[in-house]
Amino acid sequence: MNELQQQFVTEARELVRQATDDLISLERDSTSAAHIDRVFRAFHTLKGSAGVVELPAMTLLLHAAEDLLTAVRGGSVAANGEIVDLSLACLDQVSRWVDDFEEAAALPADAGEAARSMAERLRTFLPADNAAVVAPAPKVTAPVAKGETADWVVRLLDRSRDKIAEHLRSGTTTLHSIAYEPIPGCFFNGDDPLELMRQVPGLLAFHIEPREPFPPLAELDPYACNLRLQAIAASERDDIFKIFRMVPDQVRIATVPESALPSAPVSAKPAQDASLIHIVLEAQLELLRVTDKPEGLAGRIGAARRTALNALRSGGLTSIADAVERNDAVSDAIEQALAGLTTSTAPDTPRTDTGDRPAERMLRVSEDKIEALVNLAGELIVAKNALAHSVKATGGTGDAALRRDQDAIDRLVIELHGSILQLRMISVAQVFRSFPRLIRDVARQLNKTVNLVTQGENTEADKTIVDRLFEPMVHLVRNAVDHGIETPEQRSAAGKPEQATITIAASRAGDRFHVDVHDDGRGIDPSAIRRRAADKQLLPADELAALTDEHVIDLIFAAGFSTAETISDVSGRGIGMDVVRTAVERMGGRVTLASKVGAGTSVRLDMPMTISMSRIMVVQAGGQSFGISMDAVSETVRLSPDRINRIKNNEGFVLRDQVVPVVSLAELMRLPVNPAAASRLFLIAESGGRTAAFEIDAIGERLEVVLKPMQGLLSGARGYAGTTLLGNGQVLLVLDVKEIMP
Amino acid sequence: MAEAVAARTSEMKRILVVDDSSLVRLYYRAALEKSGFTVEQAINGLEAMEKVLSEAFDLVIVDVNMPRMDGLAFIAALRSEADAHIAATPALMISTESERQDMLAATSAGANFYLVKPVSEADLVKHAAVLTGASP
Repeated sequence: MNELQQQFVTEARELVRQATDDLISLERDSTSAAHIDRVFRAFHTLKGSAGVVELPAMTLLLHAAEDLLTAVRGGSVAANGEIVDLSLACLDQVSRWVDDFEEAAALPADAGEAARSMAERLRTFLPADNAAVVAPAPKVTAPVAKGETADWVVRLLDRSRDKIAEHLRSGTTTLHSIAYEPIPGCFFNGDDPLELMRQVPGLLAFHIEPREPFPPLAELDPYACNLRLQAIAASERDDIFKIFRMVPDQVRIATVPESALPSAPVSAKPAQDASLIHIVLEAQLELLRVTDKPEGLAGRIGAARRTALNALRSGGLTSIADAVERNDAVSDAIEQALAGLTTSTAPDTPRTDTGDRPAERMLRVSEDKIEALVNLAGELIVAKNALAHSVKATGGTGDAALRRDQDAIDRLVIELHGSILQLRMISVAQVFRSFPRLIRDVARQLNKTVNLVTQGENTEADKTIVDRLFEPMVHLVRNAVDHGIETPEQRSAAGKPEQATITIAASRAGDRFHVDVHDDGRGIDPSAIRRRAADKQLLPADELAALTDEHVIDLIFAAGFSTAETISDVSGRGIGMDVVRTAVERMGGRVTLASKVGAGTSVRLDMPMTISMSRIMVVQAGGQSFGISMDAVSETVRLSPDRINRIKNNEGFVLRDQVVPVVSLAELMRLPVNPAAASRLFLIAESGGRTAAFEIDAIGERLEVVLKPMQGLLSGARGYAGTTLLGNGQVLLVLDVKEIMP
Repeated sequence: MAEAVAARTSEMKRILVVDDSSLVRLYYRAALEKSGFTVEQAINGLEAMEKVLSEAFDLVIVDVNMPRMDGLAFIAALRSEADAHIAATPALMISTESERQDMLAATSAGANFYLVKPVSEADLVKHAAVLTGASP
């Protein structure tokens, strides 16, 4: 796939998502012109993009949908549920095709057929006499004279002299002039000239004027565009062209010749934000150089240090600030920070400016690349530890320079690791986005009306957590719509608004991350739970009776418990809140629930913001599974029994000239020891400079898991690093090799 | 949401404005409070000294020429304070003098940064944010 096609795939997905959201809003508020316009625009852009990558079937389908939406926009067709359903189906089809296209760079063979039949269905909703209203596109003459720099370019350059000069000092991008004369009928094509201009990256100067003098008001056609838009931008021609690719015949992009550029200004402008931090840091070095005044020296050093830290933090350069804070030699630390500032790719635009700060530049990086970085950083840490070991091995006489370099590498590697983990922080918005559609579909199926409110979509957490959030949230939301929310009749009988509200909200609380799912439905009735728990014999009757209502509600998290009276199509299916609990606990989180009969239910997922994963190996011993951290395992060996020697009461063997003591893991864990087999399996572990061979029965899989520390009565148990939940819900004990070493 | 957070972080930053001109104090205070900083005032170095000893500030903004105790003397006294935290309070000196030797005198007294009057509202807020470490 070429770059253009890749761009199309990304953009199409985004547009489908956006159109889906807007269709759902439209359904809720069918008279909103803004929603109709947005839906229309998304379809229109999709259609145009499909044309660019030459997918006639998709263009055909989207064209039909666009016609229908034009009619909706014009008011001749009402935006009812059916139209929304059909439009959503159309988007589903498009999104399947986008997947196909990504895979095979082509649509499936039956795409044309499918497009035609769906287009026909779409057209049945059109009023008989509806003909697509598209203004003819008259050719526009090139507004830019050849060769010479156009007058308007010179004028614009002159008017924005300061801004352009400032750019020329910092940037290296060539300047381009953009002349865009939209055709008179452009509004009917869904074009928004001003918005297109707004999207131009690096816009330095902009001018808008009527193409022809405006006629008297009585003769003015407000629907005809009579504008000429001109701009100077510091960006690549291709990037500009991409924005105007739908109107290539109406735009002229030309390179601004260097001779036309204003010369650099004589005096530098006052400190810009990016350099203000720099300047402040330098001022602190200056302050530290005052050594001829003994009084107040400590105060000056403290103030310089505090100010430098403040300046760095104000620019969001926390990692550099932390490095300064760790370093006792303030001057050196600030000097290093200055060096780091110039080379740093970290956010170097201090966000102190409240006004015209340039938009943050975003890069789209594929997940694989970031994963590769994370893995490399992980390996780098291992290498760093090895280096520390080697340096120590050179003995106390070791070269001081070597040790200093090693310290520097130590610090940098840890910082790098932290920064790379930051790359994995993503907002929950993409998970939240799936819910309007999901709730709509489920609610329609059940004849309920539900309004979804989302809050804190921009809350960020580690990608692993966000990715795993979807499944438990789907359970919760489905449960809420299916069981929590009453039918409209029941609701009005209870004096509630017919339309129910489900709120999903994400928030940060210190280093934790909360997701709340709240509904204003019927709530959970503790007595129903008691009956159900008694039926399922989850607890002995007397224990059940002793539980408070609050504790009884927690029983819905017990395995195998499902409150669904009937197994409906929506939820039920034997899966319930225990799945949610397991999923959340596997991330190192907790679920809590609060409910009030008649008022609704709230579920809170309380999760860590980042996951620290441990790599473990699962081994079998004495009929049980244990996890052992891969960091401690150096190798596994299989030996015939005659290689094993008895040394007094203990066993051992020679491995590469080293005597390795044998420890039976089963015996250690007080489990039945399997009778000796033809060969014996050992796991060689190293910790604290000692080596031991743990005898095991079998080796299982290698896993990346989240370790939970031992809790409750077991929290003091020695020998365990923690526990983790396996995919099947089983708890795996992970051993702490350091503690069980003989 | 971002604005709300911004308001909160700078709100927690406390600034002491030291200038003998009530007009200047008002001008600084209005600009800084608009951006969410908490502002206290003092009319000379002596009064400023009393204030910094009784409550902690994230920044002192100090004029040079003031009656009774001038800005340079105040900053020098601040830096010699026994309490390490008070002594390390960042100081921004704002003066009408733009000569190199005036700036050197400010640095030598212990000022962390120096601005030449007139200072625009935007510049004042920008520098206050960087010097106090207020996040955006």
